[in-house]
Amino acid sequence: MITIRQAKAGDEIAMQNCNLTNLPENYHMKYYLYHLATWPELSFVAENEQGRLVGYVLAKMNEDMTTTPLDGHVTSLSVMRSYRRLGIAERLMNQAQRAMFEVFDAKCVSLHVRISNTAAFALYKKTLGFDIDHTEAKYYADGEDAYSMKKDLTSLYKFEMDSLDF
Amino acid sequence: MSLTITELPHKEQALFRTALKLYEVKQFKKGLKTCDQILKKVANHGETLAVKGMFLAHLDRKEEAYEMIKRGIDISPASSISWHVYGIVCRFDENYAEAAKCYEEALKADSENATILRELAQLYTQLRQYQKAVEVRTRILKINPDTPQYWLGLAVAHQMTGRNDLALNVISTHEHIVLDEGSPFKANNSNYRCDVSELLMYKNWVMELTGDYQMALDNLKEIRPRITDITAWKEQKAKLLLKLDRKEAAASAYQELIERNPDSNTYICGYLSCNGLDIGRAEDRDAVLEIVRGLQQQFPASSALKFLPLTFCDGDDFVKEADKLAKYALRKGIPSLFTSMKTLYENKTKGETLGRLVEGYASQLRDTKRFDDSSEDEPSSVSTWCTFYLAQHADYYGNHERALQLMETAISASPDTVDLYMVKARILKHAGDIGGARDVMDFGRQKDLNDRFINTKTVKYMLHNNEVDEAEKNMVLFVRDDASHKIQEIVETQTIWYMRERGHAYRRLGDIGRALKHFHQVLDSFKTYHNDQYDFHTYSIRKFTARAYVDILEWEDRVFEHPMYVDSAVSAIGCYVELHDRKAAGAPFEPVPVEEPKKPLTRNGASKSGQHNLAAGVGEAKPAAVDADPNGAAFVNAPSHLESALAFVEVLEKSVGSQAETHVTAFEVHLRMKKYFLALKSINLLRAIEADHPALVPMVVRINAALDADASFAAPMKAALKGQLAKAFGEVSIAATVGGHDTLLPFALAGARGLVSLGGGERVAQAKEMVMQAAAERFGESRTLENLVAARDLLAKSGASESERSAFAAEARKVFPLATCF
Repeated sequence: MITIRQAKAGDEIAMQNCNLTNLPENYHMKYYLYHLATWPELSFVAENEQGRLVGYVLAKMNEDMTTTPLDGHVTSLSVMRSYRRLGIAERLMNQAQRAMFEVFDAKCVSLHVRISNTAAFALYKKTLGFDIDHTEAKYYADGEDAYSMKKDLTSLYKFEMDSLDF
Repeated sequence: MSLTITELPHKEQALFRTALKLYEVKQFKKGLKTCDQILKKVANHGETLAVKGMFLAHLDRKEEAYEMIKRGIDISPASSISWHVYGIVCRFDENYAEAAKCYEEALKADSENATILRELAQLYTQLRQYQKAVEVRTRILKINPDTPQYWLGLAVAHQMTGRNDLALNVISTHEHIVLDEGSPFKANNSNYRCDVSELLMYKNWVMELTGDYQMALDNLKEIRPRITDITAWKEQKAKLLLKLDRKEAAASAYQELIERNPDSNTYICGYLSCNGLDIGRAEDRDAVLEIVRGLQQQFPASSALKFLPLTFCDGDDFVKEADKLAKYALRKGIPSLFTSMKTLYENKTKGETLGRLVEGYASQLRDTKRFDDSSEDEPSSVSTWCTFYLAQHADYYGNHERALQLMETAISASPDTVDLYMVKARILKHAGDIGGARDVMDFGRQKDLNDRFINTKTVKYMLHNNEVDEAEKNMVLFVRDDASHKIQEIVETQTIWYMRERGHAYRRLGDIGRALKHFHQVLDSFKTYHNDQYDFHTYSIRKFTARAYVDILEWEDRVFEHPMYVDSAVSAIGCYVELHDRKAAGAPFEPVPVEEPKKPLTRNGASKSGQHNLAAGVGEAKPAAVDADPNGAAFVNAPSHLESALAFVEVLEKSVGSQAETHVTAFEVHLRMKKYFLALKSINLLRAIEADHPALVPMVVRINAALDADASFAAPMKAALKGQLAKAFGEVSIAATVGGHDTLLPFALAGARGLVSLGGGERVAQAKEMVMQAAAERFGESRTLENLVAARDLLAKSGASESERSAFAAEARKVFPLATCF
């Protein structure tokens, strides 16, 4: 009912639109381009049968860290409300997480969520398997605190070696 | 920057170097002072004047800046620095073409300056003069053969000129600099592994592009140990194997990919094509279905595989697969089931089959609380989701009353499910009751005030209902509290859907000034999108992400094809044409005045009236400094409306020249500007796209009339044009064309529009007669809501009386009984 694939430049306007439609934390187009130009493997989109973008995950590596390997980081994740119950968020995150692990050697992935956003928190905690790592005071522009949540990736994936016999 | 400064005393030379350093660290005010210090001693030093101009430009003193720079260049015309500075300032103003010229001048005096060359290459790339970019990058490489930035940049430039062979050559020659053990790029580079991987994958792609798939495949094996982008590697493997017709190996490669992402239509279709099967071929369908069923068993959680069979199955197979999917979705309560199925409804049989199927479920559940083939009762929600599906099904076929009845049933069973209100609102919209639609959407919004999605929909519906203030009040609920000016923030965050809807609302309300302002906001956003690529010409190469970079370039080439841009451009052009026409008729449009400042809008601000206040948008109450042009007066008072429109016409002709509407729109401007050859070109291009387009004959009639009326247009050219028209179209009349297509409403509408444009009592009366009949039976299905609304508007333009308009409205309401717009 939906198809999942890597985000391309042609998806940027639709991603921005999905973000503006669903969430109050918004970004300039250039920021989306910056993600695509720096970590092209990490962002994914969900498309319906009509080719319309109905969900996305915009992801990066956390360059604010001083130690390597870097953690993966979810900048933004959103699914159009009318496309619930299809497990889109999970499907997008699975692809992004594996890419963080394989391409950039990430051992874990983090994200921020408003402490008042019980629905999003439940999604991350129960469905996507994240745990609270710490609270960041006044993280959001309006002064609200954020939970910084983390998920370990090392137990999920193994390094694959491809057979070169083809 | 080159430091060939001439004729400055020692102390001033030092100051000059300081000024340049200050520019690099963006200390513009200090830099300006430093320049003035130099000029005190050496009053007319050309280069200092130019550099001073550069600082002025960055301090927003543009006019002075350009003056200063030009003075500097006049004094030292051979100075590389002065031209370089001029180039920088042009580039800063996004005037890339001018900038490139300046940089070329700067190079004449300093031909080996790597900085100038690099920036020039960037400019040529921006301008899509790839051949020139190749030349410049080749020059840089001669000076500096080792830096990856330069040779990788050259490779990409070669690729963009279609010389993949040369691109490959450049990479192969220089890649050792990065790849070798002990490469200097390894030290202190925590991203080294990824950089290498990106470079190697890019090179492999370029190999593929040269067409030598075997070479690419061999290379792919070689590079695997150093690749981190495993997904891309596996995709390349599958793709190349398929291209080499190694079907079995390719199938196994696609299988691996499906395991990693069973929701990828690309992988699934790739797998199918490896089996020599084509979903589109009827003979292959049974085989494809067997394979897909096999994949479904392997990957039961795959969403893509669940729907795929419905796209190619027929008859009993279709019913079986549809039954499987529908039951799954109805049990799970998936709101988008109908939206997915809708794509199949183009096939009449499938649409009817699905309707019957779900009707069947509905009665089974009503009678026995369970599906026929089930041994357990279903929860009552399943029945509600069935009703929900059937309502949308009825709506699809235009049975709005039945659809609404069904929605009522669903809503009473599940009054807190927001999806139900969204769809009910949409049905009311289809039925022509915009006010009712908006009320229902708002009702749904109240059920979940924390959800921006339903807020967005509500705002949209309010704007459809022309409630500009009320929409804004709701829109700002989700704008950052700490934004200094909420309305500005909406523009800042490039919320183009909102600007466009607001533009349309104002246009319907007759406020052309504000409409234009908002359409321009959308158009400006797209201009920003296009300019955003500039920094990536260097950034992406430095990051080695060349594949993603080429993707960005190709997207930017198409960015003005986006429907949001096209719609805003067409609308803006329409507004300018209207402004022009009104002015020409002696009744120019006056910008609607801005009201006295009110209390600024806060997050909890309440609005007393929900009705639109034509005098001012609520958020425009802030001081003029924030919004320099609240009512769009600058656009209304543009010196030439047609010139303003022409700028957008040209973009549309270039980017969406394959769309009919482009030429219909372009014609209006070309004709009014008396560019008859361009107007004829629009006609010919339209004809090539759609030989029987409703607007064609009216356009031909109008251009002939305009030529006849234009005494100043040279007779031989006039004769040539008229001759071409006669040859292509023969004798045409609007009445005859409309008569010859008398079951198609678009022809009557286009004909009426044409007659109104031609003017004159008789023609306008003729137009009125045509439009009065718009709701007649003979027009059948072409009596869409959109067309009848257009007819309503045309009636007003063709001098219909109150009673005539009422008569039409009554007829229109027979077609759309629930409509409130007639």
